Amino acid sequence: MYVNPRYPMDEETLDRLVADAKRGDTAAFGLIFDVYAGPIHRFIASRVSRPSDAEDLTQLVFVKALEALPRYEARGIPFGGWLFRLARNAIIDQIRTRREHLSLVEVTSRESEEASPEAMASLHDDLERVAVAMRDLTDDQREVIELRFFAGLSVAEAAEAMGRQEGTIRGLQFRAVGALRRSLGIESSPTPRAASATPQPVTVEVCW
Amino acid sequence: MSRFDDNDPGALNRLEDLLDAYSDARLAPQGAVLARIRANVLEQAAALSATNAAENRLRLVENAWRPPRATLGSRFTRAAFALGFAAMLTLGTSLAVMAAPPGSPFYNARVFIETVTLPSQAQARFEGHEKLLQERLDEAEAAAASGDSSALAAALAAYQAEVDAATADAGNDQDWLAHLQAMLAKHTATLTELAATLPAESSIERAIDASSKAITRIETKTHPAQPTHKPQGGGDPQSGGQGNGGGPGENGAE
Repeated sequence: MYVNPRYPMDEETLDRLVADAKRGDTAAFGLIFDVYAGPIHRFIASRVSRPSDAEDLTQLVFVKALEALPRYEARGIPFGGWLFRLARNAIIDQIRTRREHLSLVEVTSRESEEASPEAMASLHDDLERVAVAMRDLTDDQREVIELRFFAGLSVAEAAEAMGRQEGTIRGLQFRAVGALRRSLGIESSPTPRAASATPQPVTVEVCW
Repeated sequence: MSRFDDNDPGALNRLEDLLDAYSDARLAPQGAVLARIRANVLEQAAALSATNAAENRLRLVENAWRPPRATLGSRFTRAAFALGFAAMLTLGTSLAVMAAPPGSPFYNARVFIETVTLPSQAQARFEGHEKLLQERLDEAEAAAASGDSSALAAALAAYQAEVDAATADAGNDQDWLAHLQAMLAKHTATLTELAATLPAESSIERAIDASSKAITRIETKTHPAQPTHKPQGGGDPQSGGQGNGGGPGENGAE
């Protein structure tokens, strides 16, 4: 069974929670919120310029999910994909309403209140390079990176969120990763890289 | 191996590390932000759940007061039952009316129906009147035999009405007038005999009188200059107050 590393919950448990939430179980909906709120916020924050907008939109997405949940029927549609489609539509509406366009420069210039000055200093260069590399991607490639890496969706969920075929998502991701590697100068290692000191998500095997 | 081998897991891991760092540093929500969003969302969830529960309870109460919605089959059954019931009621009422004896509540309705349903064709209509006159007379005799004065009165009233209707319908048809005159003469004799068997009955006297007057009217039509019939009742001013059979014309003829 596939367990998304960002969501410490198997599909069976998630299905049960969704069914309970559909019947009006507020506690079940709270657990669903706990699983998806972080990834949803990351996805939204990557596409809007102001942190307050990210907060408002994240709340809006869950309220919309609450209202639309009685009409949700699994039937092969991953719940995560359904939820992120709501998020994607909310972002599109926001951009249309405010005529707002994401500025990656703005995103990368945000200061993290949690990071220490030393950490910020060490990260600054790398993050700036990531921001520039992301800006050079096409819109579709960027969205795939946001959904797959920032939000941690599976290929199926990303496909549902974007309304595309899974093969299309894999192709977009392949080209986006290649473009990012070239922009960031991540060359192939002469020898296989040793295991990372920190545990890495197992999604590597699924993603690539 | 090229510098950017697409299948190099080490390079891919380094890219993923960079993207994760970017996401964690720039996109991840603060704990306070998530807590605020969570509180607001769950507050709305609780409100929505309470609203839905209230609506469900209201629906249950409404359903308890409302009869179950009729299915197509049950509606058809009810309509068929209603139609059948109406048909049975109509048929039963019709049978009751058409068999109503004199003096019963439906008798006048029966007489009315029998009169208005007479054929329009002249000969058939005459025959219908003849049949009805005989029926009314028979009913009067039966009522007299049973001692039912109210039935007798009803039958004789119907008889008088039928005499008037038959006379009016006859118009100037000489054959029918002659036939009607002969029939009424027989009826008058029958009624006179009947009257003799009964205690004083004003209804039968009136019937005899009506029948006699009708005969007179018919004679006027058939023989305008020489009326030959004298009313058998004593109340006709044309008779000169001479009593039964005592008219001057008859005396003169003799």
